Amino acid sequence: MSFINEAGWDRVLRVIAGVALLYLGWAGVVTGTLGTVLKFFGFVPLITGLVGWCPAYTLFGFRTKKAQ
Amino acid sequence: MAPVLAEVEVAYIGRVDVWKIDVDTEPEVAAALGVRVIPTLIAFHGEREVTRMAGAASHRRLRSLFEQAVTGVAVERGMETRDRAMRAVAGAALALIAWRTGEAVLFAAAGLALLAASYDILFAPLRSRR
Repeated sequence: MSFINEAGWDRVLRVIAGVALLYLGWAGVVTGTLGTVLKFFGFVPLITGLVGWCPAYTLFGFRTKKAQ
Repeated sequence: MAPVLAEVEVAYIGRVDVWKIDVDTEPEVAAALGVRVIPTLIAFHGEREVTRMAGAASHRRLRSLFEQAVTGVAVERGMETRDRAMRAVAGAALALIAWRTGEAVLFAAAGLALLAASYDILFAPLRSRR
């Protein structure tokens, strides 16, 4: 799909990072302000990884997916 | 996309004729075909358009387009196996964390991820009834 700007490895890394951050936040491994931040910001890499489109990449004209 | 297209084109020699139109030199043809995005690939079976793809396409999708040109049967675009796997694994991981923590937000997120991994299968009977 043409809107996708993340390569496969990028997407996999984001999904893994997202799940890990959510685990650290929600399971109480990290507590306090950082824990609260992780609880919500973990969704960012998870969602961008699952969708394959990163708004920041678009903003800065960057992409990890090779143009075909 | 040209190298991928050339590769698929070779695989379908004798079965599919490939015509390339330059929209700058032949804008009237592009307009008649309703081309608004470059590149756009249109598969014809005889004189009938079977399907089209706008924008860059993967090797797999190009093969699907050529196959549709050969058979004349439009195939609905399915979800990529990797996408489905990532969504399912993420959903399962979130469900596991949700089960351990009892957090409703994570149950909802897990449900959404699992739904995203399977909506095309779950709702296929509804679509075929239309």
